[in-house]
Amino acid sequence: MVLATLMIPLEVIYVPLYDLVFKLGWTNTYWGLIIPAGTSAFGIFLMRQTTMAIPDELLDAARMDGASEWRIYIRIVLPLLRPALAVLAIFIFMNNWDSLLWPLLVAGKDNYWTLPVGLAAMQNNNEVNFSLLMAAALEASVPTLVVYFLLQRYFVAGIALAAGLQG
Amino acid sequence: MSLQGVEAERSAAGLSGATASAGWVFRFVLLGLGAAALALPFAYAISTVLKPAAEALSVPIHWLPSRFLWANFLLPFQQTNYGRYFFNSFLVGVSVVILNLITVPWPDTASASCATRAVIFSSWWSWPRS
Repeated sequence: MVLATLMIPLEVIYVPLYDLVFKLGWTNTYWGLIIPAGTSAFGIFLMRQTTMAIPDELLDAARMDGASEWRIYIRIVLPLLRPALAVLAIFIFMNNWDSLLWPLLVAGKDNYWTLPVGLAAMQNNNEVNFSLLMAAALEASVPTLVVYFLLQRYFVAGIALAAGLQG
Repeated sequence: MSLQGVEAERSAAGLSGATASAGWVFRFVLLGLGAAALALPFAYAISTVLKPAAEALSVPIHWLPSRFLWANFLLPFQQTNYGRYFFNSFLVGVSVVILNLITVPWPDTASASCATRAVIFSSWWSWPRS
């Protein structure tokens, strides 16, 4: 079920999703930009695979020690998921930073444009100011570079993890 | 282990110093070419920012601008609502990541295994332990 949503191209979902967001009155708001991206099937699948790898014996041992189920989740399962969560954070951040189509649909007003929309709007039909465009593109890529250098060691692990899942 | 020992082991494995270093040179050249290919668009972007607008599309590319216009880096902020776009992107990106980190581990814990499923139920419902 969750996997099936990964198979559908995003563009197919956009029309009904826009309809929903419009009826909620979320066009031209931050809600419309944030909430639809607030969870991801890819993330759920990634976490599921990682959680499956945690041996049941470990959880049973914790139960023997008298830990409540909630406590097991917080103290044992979540710390074991930490590398996968770091990887997920990077992937989601980069996807979001790059995404053009959804912000373009939801944010009609210039106030709510994100960087890709702004960049796309800088090239109009009559004249393209290359100095402006290149400066904007370079500055837009700075945060991704910072994220990359900060989390470099998770990156390779993440690509290996994701490739292992999809292969 | 002594140096001679290492040498002996290497020659025993059929790895003379020469072939090993040839492999290294080949690898460095290959990686270097790849890195250069990836860096080229960035170099072009930087040089285009710095040169006067008229030079941007000159057909043999002039990699070095005739004048260095560092102020061009401020153009997006002066001519468009760039600071606002940046803020929006950042706000959306950060909150989406946080939302994902909160929402995503939940369904997994529910489906991972019978034992872990109990994590969610048993806190308010006395589920028979497996």
